[in-house]
Amino acid sequence: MERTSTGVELRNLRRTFGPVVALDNLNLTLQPGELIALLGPSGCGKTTALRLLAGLDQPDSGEIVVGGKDITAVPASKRNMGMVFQSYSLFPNLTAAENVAFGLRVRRVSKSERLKRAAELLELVGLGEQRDRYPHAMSGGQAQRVALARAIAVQPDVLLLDEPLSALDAKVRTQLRDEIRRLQIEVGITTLFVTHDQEEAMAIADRVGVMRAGNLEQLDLPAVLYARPATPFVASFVGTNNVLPTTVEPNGTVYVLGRALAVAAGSDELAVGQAANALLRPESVSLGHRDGGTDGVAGVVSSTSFFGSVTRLTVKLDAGNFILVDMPSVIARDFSAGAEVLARAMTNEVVIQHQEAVALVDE
Amino acid sequence: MAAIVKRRKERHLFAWLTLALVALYFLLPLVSATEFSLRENNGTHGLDAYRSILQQPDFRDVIMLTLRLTVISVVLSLVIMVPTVTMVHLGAKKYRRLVEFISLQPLVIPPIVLVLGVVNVMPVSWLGSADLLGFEYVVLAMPFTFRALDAGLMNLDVKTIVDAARGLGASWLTVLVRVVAPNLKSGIFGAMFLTIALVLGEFTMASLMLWNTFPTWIATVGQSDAALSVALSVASLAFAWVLLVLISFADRRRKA
Repeated sequence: MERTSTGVELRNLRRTFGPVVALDNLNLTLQPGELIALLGPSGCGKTTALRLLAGLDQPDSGEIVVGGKDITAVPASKRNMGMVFQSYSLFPNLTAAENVAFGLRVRRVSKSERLKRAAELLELVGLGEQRDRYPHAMSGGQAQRVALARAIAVQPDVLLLDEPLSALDAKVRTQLRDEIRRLQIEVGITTLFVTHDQEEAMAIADRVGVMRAGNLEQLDLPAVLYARPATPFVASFVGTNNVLPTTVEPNGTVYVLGRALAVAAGSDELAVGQAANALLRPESVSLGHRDGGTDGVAGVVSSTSFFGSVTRLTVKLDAGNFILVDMPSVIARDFSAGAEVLARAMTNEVVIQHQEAVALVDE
Repeated sequence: MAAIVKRRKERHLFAWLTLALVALYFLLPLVSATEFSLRENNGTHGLDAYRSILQQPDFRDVIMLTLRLTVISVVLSLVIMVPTVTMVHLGAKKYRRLVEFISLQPLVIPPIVLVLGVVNVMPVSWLGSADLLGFEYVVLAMPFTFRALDAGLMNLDVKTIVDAARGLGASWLTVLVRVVAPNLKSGIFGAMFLTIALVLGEFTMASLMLWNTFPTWIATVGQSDAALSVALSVASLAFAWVLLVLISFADRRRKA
């Protein structure tokens, strides 16, 4: 399974559907062997980018370069890509082994070699025993594993994954997500993974690209993307945020939950005295009992949601607005609904944006 | 609870009664025709009419011509309609209404108009070829082939499997032959069956173009030997039924 990885460059890709601009001069480079996840809301152009790379659609302008060769005009059947789709794409008339061997058959690989490779790959995805099963007799997770084996059987230059986990239930999704990553590293294949699930993107990718309205807003390491979003959209799209009204102070700071915080890079540029929204992560807020001190903004815990190791508390501030607070469940036990608390920011900098941009922020 | 059981029984009874009436409507003429074809001169019943089918002087020529027309119609219909309907399902959805409209025309335009149009347009040298009648049957079968294939493709996520096959390096021909066609068996069998049934029953076009096909032959024979004519009709119907059963059987095997 040793192979040489191939780099990919998408240069100024533009694709329109009538008046809708699906991709607006997209530039993206995948290093050989890298897994990049494209993340974004529906209609942001991520699947269009993937389909253009696969050759299943043609760009209006721009170039697609794989391994140093311009393949923009090369048809899909000549591109040597492996693709896994959101919906189960196995050929219903073929068994698992025949599905995996399909691409090899098209490449006129001998039957014995095809069957050998198919058996090896089905073993690799843990379905060695299911080789003679037809797709209708498989679970969703098994079908996607076979689709993955089929995609890598042809030793593609690039593996393209179009939301392959979104039709699966939560447990299988996590298992298969880890399996995809393991296989991708094992095979060393350059991979583009499209998803709208940020947890999935963060967990699986070397780098995550956040897309919006046909543009790549930020491409970075998952941790950087989360901690230092380059634009207010990225800050609001990735992770959950509390949206807190504030004002830019003369020294360039903003007051949030009783503390003066520096304005983080990637914030909107706002003048001194201008009203703004501060985006504060739920884990960046601490709570204390009101009788324990005076530091912070007063509020009352209105509800709690238990997520295992973490509990999310909803706090109604005395000013009337609600904030979310994430804390370890062992600590959250002290704050039941109705508890009177003081909320305090636990970070030194915060992303701010124009108040009218609030519509972009998820709740 | 008893009321629910009573209502359920009444519904079942009504369903069976309706089914029996419909069956009677279809079966009565068939039973009568079969009975008539089995009548013999001495007032008894036997297989004389069926035995005499094979002894008819024209039988071989008529069957060979009908077979040729059947093969031409079925093959051409599939070659034209499978890619067309697949394309309509793949991306050319805006052309769906147009294709549907064109495919319905043979139901609206009388066969005599079609024949006269073809006779006027085609070179004289072509008019002597029976293949021309086969081409006309392709047009005549379009409403049925389109619908059968369309229904088959509705049950298939054709866009995804075609994309998957293309992504794996398959040419369009390979996609059609190895991916679409095997998964469209029921639609293809349905289209084939309906086209065969049409060729076995079409009279107007064949008669106007002066070809002695199975249906025109039955009509000719019927003028001199009514029992033989009805026996031929019953035999062709039985043939169509056997074909239908075989198609259903093949489709069931595929699904299993």
